Amino acid sequence: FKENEFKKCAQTSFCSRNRNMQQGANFDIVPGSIVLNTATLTATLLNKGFDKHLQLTVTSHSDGFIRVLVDELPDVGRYQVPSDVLVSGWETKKLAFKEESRTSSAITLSGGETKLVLNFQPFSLAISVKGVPALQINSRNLFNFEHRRPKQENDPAGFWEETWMGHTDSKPKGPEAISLDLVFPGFQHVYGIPERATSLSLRSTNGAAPYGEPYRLYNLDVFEYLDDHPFGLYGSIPVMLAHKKGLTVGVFWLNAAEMFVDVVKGRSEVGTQWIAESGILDLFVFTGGSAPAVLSSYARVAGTTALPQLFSLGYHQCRWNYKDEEDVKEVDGGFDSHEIPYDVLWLDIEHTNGKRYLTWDSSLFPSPVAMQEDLASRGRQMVTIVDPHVKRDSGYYIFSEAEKAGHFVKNKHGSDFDGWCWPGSSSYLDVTSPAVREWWAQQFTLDKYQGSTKHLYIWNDMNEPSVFNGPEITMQKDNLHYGNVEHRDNHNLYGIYYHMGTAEGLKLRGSQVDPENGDRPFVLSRAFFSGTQRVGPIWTGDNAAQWSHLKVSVPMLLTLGLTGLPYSGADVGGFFGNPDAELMTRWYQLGIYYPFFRGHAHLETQRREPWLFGPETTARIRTAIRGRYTLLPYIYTLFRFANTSGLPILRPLWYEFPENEDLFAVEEEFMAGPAILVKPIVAPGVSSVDVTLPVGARWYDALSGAAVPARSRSQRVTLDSIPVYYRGGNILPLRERPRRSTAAQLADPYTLVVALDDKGEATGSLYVDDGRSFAFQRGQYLHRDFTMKSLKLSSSKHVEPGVPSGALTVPTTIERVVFLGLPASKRGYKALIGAKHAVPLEPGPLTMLAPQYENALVLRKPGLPVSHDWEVEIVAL
Amino acid sequence: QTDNLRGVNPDLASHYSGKGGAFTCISGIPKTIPFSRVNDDYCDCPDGSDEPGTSACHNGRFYCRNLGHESRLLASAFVDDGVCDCCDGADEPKGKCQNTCLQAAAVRKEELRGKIQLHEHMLNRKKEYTTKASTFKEELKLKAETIDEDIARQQAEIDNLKGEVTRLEAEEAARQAEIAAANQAAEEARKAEAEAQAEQAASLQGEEAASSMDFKADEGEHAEGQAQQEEREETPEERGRRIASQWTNDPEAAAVPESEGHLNPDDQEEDVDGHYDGTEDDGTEGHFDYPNTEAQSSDYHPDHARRPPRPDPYSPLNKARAAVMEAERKLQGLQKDKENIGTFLHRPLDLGPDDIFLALANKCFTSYQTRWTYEICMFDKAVQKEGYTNSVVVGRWYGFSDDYRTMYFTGGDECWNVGPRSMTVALSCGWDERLSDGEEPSTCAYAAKLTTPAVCTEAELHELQQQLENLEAFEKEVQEKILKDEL
Repeated sequence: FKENEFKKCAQTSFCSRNRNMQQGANFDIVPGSIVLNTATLTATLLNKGFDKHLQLTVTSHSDGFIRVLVDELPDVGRYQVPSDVLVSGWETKKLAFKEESRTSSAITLSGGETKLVLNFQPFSLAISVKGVPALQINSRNLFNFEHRRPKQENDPAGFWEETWMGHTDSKPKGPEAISLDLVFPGFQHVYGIPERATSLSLRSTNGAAPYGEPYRLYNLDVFEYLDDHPFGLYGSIPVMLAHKKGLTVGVFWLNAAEMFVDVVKGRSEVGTQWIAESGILDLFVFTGGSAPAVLSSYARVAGTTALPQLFSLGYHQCRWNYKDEEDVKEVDGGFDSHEIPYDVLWLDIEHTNGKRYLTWDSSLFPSPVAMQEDLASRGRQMVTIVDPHVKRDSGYYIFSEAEKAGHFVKNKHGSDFDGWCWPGSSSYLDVTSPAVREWWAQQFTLDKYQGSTKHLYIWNDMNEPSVFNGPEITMQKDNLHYGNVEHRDNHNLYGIYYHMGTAEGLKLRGSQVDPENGDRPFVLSRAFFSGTQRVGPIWTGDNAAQWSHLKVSVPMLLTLGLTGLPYSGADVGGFFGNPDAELMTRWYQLGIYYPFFRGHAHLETQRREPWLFGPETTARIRTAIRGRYTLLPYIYTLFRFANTSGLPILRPLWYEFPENEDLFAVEEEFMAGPAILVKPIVAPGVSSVDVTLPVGARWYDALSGAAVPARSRSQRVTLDSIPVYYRGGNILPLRERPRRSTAAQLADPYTLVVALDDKGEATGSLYVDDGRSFAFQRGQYLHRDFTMKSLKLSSSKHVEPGVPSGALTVPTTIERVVFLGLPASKRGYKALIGAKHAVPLEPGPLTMLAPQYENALVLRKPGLPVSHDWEVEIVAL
Repeated sequence: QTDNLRGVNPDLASHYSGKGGAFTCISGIPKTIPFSRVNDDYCDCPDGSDEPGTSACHNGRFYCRNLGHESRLLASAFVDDGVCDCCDGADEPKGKCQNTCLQAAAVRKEELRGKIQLHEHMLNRKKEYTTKASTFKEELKLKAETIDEDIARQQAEIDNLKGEVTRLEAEEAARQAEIAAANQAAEEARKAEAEAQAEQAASLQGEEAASSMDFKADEGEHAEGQAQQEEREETPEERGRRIASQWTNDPEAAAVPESEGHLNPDDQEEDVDGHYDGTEDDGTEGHFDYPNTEAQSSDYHPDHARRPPRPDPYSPLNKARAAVMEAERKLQGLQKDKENIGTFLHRPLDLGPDDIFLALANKCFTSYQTRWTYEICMFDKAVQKEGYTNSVVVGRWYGFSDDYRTMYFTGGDECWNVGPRSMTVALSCGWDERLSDGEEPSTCAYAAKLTTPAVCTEAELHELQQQLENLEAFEKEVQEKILKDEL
């Protein structure tokens, strides 16, 4: 991390002039201007210092949120994030305000369980949920809204120009910054505002270095980022959650400009100040009350996670670079000969002809189609990298077409921007333009992308955008985009738009290959913004082969889950440097729980395919990766819930145990869905660890099946596994046959693990579809609910409001039902299947991988059809 | 009964007799199950032995007979997974896979025939090596008789030629001095003229103003020049390259302009310059290439493309200088001969059976890896190079072991906390000398592989011939079987 390559708040004029300044009570509501029209309140907000009138709009939406807008008059033309970044449909769904009271100094409104008090002089807005204070806007009078003004000769505050490290930023529109003052009363913990390598519960930013700097949201390519730092990385989601006993509240400032966020924790509240360089104030306050409700509401606005193709939830093997076709063949063969499952082999930038994306180095990859077909014959896919910088070479078709059509971002003088990246001198596609995205999407059809097949998917890197010779390794802020928009206004959108254009390309290709059932796109991105979840997964960029990077991957991914982008992962093994066998082992053991699970390595690292660390390590990694494939039915079902309701895959403990204050800052362990607690080992030479198993639940060791008491305990560990527990009350669908890929698992039977809670009950579900196409949207899916109650296990159709009912049936059956926590019975149990057929339960292992433990009771070969209703009654003998 | 059981390994067939209606798991935790549970698509045995023919056990093994080719034990996971793994297709439901054993055998046969042919050629080359080695040794012995006299004679010859050069240089210097004196006189005259003109101009414009202006201008230029030298701003391209180079030292990955690139043709030349400077310094190998094998040479051949323009080569002085250089080259050759005599005749150096490795004497081989280049010089040293300037000696010649299958270089440069560096080079039979896979498997202990015909053996050839015979026998057996079935 070269700190001096990047700006601090004090070196950034808009931040330094707004941070922690005593703005004073400069903003008042003009009481006579208030108009309440059912769900919308409008008023004039007066900037007293300048006698400047602004528009305030507060709207109540029925999807569980309040929206607060402040802008200058519309004809000023301040930048607003385009609607295609979000989803539509929510704007018109409103919930009428009820006017509770109005005085000369305040108006009180209510909508559902939410109450708002708008104070006029000075302006402030207090929001409470179910009578509990949730949020105060401008209670500290740090709110500021810089309006446009005529240029002045004297410019000490950097309103019209600033220079940093030789780069001069001309600011023809003058000052446009906004400071937002948000206080969370009665809270001690706030979460969110990725992406950065830091703690889950955000620390105060008024502490010792580096935590004296505000958190920054400005998508940047940060070389060798540190593992504990407030500095912003490749993506930005301006969403924050605050949680206390009894209430979770969320805020989302829809703004794509550079943003800084200060967090200051007081004894009885968390104060935050948000400063954006331009745009408008467009704040969503999610008032559903719980974390799942907040995330569901946010998903109504920003969208849910696109349901990934099943293959993309398998293991991905990547390296910068698999050298040639021979290398690809050997690595692919290595997985089979070591009996390690994997689904996707990746090619980094060296596969191209001189970093001209969508081309091949024909000496290294003379027959890419045959190579991909060969992988596909074993159910595997390939991914190639495609980056947004386009080599300035008139002999390169992408460049010449794009140049002719005027598809590149312009510099401030209006000519094609020329920046330096991997291929040298490059121009950058202006993907903020819908027309450019449409053209870009067409480049991925099979006839256009030479050497591609339908088994080829895409990886978008460097889309912050990374510009090696630009300020802070990105583009100049006075560059110009479609619609004459300055780069400063939409910087944080470049990544998502490029990602969108590419994903549209694969969708287009899919619909050409199979007009009925074209496949779902798979495009990995590094940069992201709110809404990226609808497009594809992201990874946490260029981490390092260090224990500290293994450790910080957990809070990083938990934070992404809490901000609506759960499909994410960190490079297993660490990108830079050479991991030893122990680090590699621990990383795979954790990595199998990453929603996106990929091993990756830098060009100059030693080879590290899973079998290169000696037979013992190979065996451990094999066991870990096979464990991932075992869990896939459970994981895919979690993704379905992420897809319908915006729920995260990985969850902090407090998400599942929201009343237990001791857990609010825990990031050393986490939940994978509602049923699995994972305690990663993030240090070398560990022989025992302290594990907290939250009270109020029953826990089972996921290897031995033994019941484990709920409390903090010291757990002995070996290199063979990390501590993982099933939470009583859950039924997990698994597939225990270690196939070579997800495709090869397709016809395999399931195992159900029924982990009972204290009442002897459990629930769970299983989602199944073709794993690849959009047919599920037309109801071609199967979703079952499993319930265990009063010793009766039953399967019924899963019904979810607003989701079309599933019509798919599959011939698959359940081969094993594993019961954990049945009360002791002297003579054992039998199972009555369909009330007639009686089968004794046999003592057996929870998992075939650990046959030495027989702590479960197993129903052998019940032959239960997955697609139909059934009931199994357990009877004590 | 075993015949009907899918996937059973014939070596373990006795376990699957079904006697007493029970099956006992073959290894691991003792467990006996009803025989009806064998191959019932449910895993009962912890060792997976009850399901040889299904995919139910994570650790089971499926036996492919692969008649006509080679039998194989397949992971149970690959049974009934939609991929044809066994060439007889037994791992998938009937009708799913074609029997490709005969084709596979045919391919294998062709492969083996090719290998046999190649191996025969390689053994011939090995013989040539032996001949070359003995010729080389004989030549050395011959040279050894007179080498000291030859060197002394050559040294005398050089002294003689140098004397001639000195004489010619003195003549040349005298001539140059004359010319210089004439030039200086002319210059002084010109200066006097100019001063007279300047005085005239000053008296017209006012002396002070003019000189202060000159001073200012001088100062300005000076300051600017200094700033440019000390904190000259990077050009955008320099910055781009610097940031790119953070990620990698690999010039391929960091946007080197290609020859057709329109970006910066100059840069490439600069690169090339740096390149040559680095290698010329230690580039004596290749000049004395005894004996001259026609083996692929992976040595670096510097291309003397950019030499300064030379003065008239036909002047007596330059001719004399050229003669000195020629004589010195000859002397170097003789000295190298002497060194070779010392190394290969007088030292107790293990040169392999029939001194065969003498055929590689004085040869160096290079393996280009992503970041580092490894170079080994036979009977001398092994070096790891990074870029064109940094190099580390990773070992000096130690000798062979493993029946000439490994070469050792030891006692290289010190490695922090580890001791001297060392390198092993694994030798294997190949058409020519190719160094590959240079790497550092553990800290400061390096490894690479070298192919050479010098280690090819008759036994390897016989092994290949045996494999071919076996395969042909198999094939015949299967064809007969097919014929019978058809009849």
